[in-house]
Amino acid sequence: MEVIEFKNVSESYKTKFVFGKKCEWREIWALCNGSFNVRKGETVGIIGENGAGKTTLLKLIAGMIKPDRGEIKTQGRILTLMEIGAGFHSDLTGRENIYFNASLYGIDRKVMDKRIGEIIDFAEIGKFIDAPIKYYSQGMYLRLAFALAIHVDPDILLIDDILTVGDEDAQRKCINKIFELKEKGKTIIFVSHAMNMVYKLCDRVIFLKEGRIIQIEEPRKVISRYLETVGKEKGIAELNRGDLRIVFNNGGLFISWKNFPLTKHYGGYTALHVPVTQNWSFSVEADWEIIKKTESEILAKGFSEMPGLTQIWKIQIKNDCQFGWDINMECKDSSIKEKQIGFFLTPEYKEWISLDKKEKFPPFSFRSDWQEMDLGNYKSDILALGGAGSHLPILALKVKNNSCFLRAFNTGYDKECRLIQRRLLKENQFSGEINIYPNKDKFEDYFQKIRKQYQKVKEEEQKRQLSLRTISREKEQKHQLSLRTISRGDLRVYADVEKKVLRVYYQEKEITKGSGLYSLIEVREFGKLSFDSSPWEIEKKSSEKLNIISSNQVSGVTQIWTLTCKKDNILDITIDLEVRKNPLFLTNQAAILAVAGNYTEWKTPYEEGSFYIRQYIGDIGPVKLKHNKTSKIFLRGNEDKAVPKLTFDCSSSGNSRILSIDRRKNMEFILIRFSKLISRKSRKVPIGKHNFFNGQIIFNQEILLEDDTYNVVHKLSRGKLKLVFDEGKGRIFWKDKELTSGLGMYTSIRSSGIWHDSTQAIWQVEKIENDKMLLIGEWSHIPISQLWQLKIISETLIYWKVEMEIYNPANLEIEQSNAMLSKEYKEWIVPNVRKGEFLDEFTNQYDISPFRFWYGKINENGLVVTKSELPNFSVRLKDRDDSYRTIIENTDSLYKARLLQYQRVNTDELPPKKYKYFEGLIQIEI
Amino acid sequence: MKNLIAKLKRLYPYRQVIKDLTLKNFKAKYSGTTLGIFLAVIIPLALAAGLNFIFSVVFKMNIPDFYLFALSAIMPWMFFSTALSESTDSIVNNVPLLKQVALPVEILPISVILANFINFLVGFVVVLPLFFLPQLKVLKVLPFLIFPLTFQLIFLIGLGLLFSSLNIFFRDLHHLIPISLMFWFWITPIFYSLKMVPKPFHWICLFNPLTHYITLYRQILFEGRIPSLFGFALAFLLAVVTFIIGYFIFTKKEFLVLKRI
Repeated sequence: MEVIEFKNVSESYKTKFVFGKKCEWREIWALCNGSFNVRKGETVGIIGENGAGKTTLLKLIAGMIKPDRGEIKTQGRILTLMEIGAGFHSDLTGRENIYFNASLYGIDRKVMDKRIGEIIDFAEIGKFIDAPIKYYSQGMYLRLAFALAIHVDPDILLIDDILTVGDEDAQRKCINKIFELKEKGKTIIFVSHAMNMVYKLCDRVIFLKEGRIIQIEEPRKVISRYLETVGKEKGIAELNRGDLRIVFNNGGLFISWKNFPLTKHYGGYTALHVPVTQNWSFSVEADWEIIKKTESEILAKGFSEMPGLTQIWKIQIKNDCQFGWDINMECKDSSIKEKQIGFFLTPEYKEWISLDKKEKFPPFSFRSDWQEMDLGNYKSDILALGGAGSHLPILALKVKNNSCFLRAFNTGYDKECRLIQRRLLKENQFSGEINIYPNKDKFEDYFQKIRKQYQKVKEEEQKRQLSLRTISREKEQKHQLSLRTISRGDLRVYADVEKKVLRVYYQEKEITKGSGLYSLIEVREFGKLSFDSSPWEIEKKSSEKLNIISSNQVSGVTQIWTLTCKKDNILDITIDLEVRKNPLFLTNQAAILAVAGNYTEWKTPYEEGSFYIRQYIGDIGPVKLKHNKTSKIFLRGNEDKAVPKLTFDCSSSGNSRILSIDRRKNMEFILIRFSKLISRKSRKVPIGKHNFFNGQIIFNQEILLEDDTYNVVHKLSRGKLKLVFDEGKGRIFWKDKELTSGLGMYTSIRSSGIWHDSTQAIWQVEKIENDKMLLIGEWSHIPISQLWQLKIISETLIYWKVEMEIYNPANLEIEQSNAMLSKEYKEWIVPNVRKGEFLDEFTNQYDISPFRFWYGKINENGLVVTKSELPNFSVRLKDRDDSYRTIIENTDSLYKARLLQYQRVNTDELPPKKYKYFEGLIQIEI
Repeated sequence: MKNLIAKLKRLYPYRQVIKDLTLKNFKAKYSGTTLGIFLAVIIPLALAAGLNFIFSVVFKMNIPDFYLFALSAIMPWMFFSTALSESTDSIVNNVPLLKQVALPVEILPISVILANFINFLVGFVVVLPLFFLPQLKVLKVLPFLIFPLTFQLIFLIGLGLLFSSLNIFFRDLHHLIPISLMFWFWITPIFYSLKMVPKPFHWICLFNPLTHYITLYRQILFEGRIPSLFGFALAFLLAVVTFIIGYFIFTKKEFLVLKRI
């Protein structure tokens, strides 16, 4: 049944153009002679560049505007989501708005009474439902608008490109709901720029360009056509030969065969790693120009400003199933060490074929990380993709010089592409050949030839090995298995060499999950050096001791793991690092244990809690810790989920470590990560062998978790006042009652979107006197250190000065100096400006802005909090400095405290320098 | 004419929306204020007190109970002027709403005028005793008030429809309305009676349609007599003609209005 019918519809509007003094009204066709039908239950996408007429089309369907010419018929209740919260009135509460909007769609109050509970549930706004919606965050807005829309129960839902607002969680929720509505058989018309969503959601797609309907067809065809044509005209060229079409579009290379797209996303691309920003800069971001175009050749030049790179691409069609792709790069910036070249290909390709292996791609299981395929022992310079059914030909990529091999990836499910990629280190040239085989046999012939060449090399090597070992294969396998296992009592450890996973078993039950026990090392020169990215070599020393050696050829770094079953329930882990080629500059190192999701409770020397996660960020549910500087953790499951008690202890490493725990939503496992705090001195790793990690996993034993000993704690006192410095936080006591709470006096810096608190730094005492102390803290993940001076001036006055040193250029967007105070304080005052009462509500959400009571300029008398039984507490700047802003707010529910804050914002990257970060006075008035 | 009736019928299913929008507009009038609905009462009372002071104490006017004389006119005037200026902006201010739902656009000015009407009635009911307590004969003719109230409302809706749609094309209207309202105020017999106007200028007041409504209010509330049938008929005719013209032009422009936003 057709529910929407468009017959030769045209719609124009007039726009004013101003040419100097002359002013002219011109008619613009927003839609020109468009005809199409939509059947009931269909999901139709509308794509096109901005101004192509997408919104006009939606408005016409909705009946908000009438066409100038032509005829439109629709059936059923239509609901539009055009602008988020457009029908909302900001002074009314969420509930009032729901009723009001529902009446706009002609729904009775009584009907809405029944549905309002569901709406509030879906929107997850809790009590805020009765607050005026001007206090809502973007995400709340989106969820509420969306919840309302779907509960109005329309027959036809029109969605404009609105799902780009709000946080990711809100967006995901809405998208899932759209899928649900689609399954329920609702008709959905959907405008979006997110091609992957259009691809997954729509049955058909309409491609609009300048008011004209260019194409209406199945998504993959339309989207590829769109990607080929969108962009600057001077950077687009097309080659056609037989069934093959190659389109170069501003740094992306798109291939299609008989109009079926083989590429996806950017298509063929280059990318280079810019060390300054730590980002990959893709060729599509460059400025492109076609410099030559013939029947069979495209020559294009691209220039990117940021890394100062010029690249010339030559695309040459050789015959109707073969073309060459040559790239020459010239780079001014010598700091660029790494480049990559690759193809994003359609996920319809189900398998990859290397010379000695043919395997199916696994399902997309990560959100945005790329998952590398294990291409087998003979990494080669040729790789093919196939298994896509008869309409898509097999595609093979062959590269000419082979110092680096081809690799294959699955992208995350945000893009859903297959990826063939090759890294370039020093060389600036690339030369590849792409072959298309519509005929499977021809491909086999071709591959067979190359395979034979490699086979020879392989056979020779095998012969050599066979002569060494005459044992039969089966025996060898068993032998291998036992070679990879150590055990003692109930404890067993198995090194899965194929998958490169270390699995730990207790009482024949696997305790690890997913990636098991592993380590992570990041160095500035090579990025991540995962334990599982290089082949493993195993040496079994005894039935209880095993060595695993993983050598990374490129970086010259070897990780040596020694695993020992020390007792029936204790596994000893030692990781050594051998640096062979060049000294390294270490940026991160961590030991990680992935355990089964059956564990329900955790405990550290400082606190305990459960793994119930209130809020996930994407798939990751972080467990919030008050004190994360520890090297021990104890885990326990509740009784019906029988898992052995587990203690992970790495205190014998003797280093400060930061613990982070998170639970993964879909994969049901818990990641325990101990990251090392790396000081400036220990960052440089010279050539040689270094101990990197020592730890133990202990089963079924209640371990006494004592405090870690390395915390720096010092006290100053005068009269009733006591000031304690405790590893990056200052705590203030009056008559032995703590006025501060949680993190006390601390500093916090946001660098590239991540917050770094002073409690996570490594602290050392510089000097301690009667009423004064000097402390130096060094941050591990950002190149800064702070010198704190804490001084008791009188019984009621504390002086706090923070000086900061930056060693390397760094992005430090926000600097904060905070005092976190006891929640017993009930009132806040900005003297002579404003005062108010604190709410006793502490949110679980990450967005705490509804609980921000004050944001404003500095005040000479500082920020004050009061409570009748406690002395007034105030923080003020020593000298006037207008670059600070002051904030008073409630913290989240982890600390449940009041927060006084001085904040400064930096917009530019900061050069290495030493400067005053904060200088203030803390006054306690009785 | 047929067209107009069809249009009006189209509004019927939207009666709940009109009700909700009216209430929303009424609430929004006082949202954020401390006195709230009392402002609707306080303002006319304060006005009456101020008028009384200036005209009977300072200027010593010879009309007895001058403040009642002025009050009987100033309240309908205030209703008229605020409703007109708010309804003129009503479509422009609600563009986001129109982008969200396909609604008959006339709902917007109508609901704004209705909200102002409620506001006016609330204040009016409170002030009424001031009129009939000093002279009880007013109480007898009070039911006749229903006519000027209804006719003025219809008249206003006609004007509101006209102005709100024109405002889309001539945004100047938004700026011109306050100043024209000021002139309109002075040519309407509010602080003076028609008799006080010298003959040569009499016609200006008579051409002003609002004069006839004010006269009705004043005859009932201040003089305590039933207005002439001619007075009622004239007011009714003005209302119907304005309404038809306003609606006609609105319907003509509606199509373009939606395109413009």
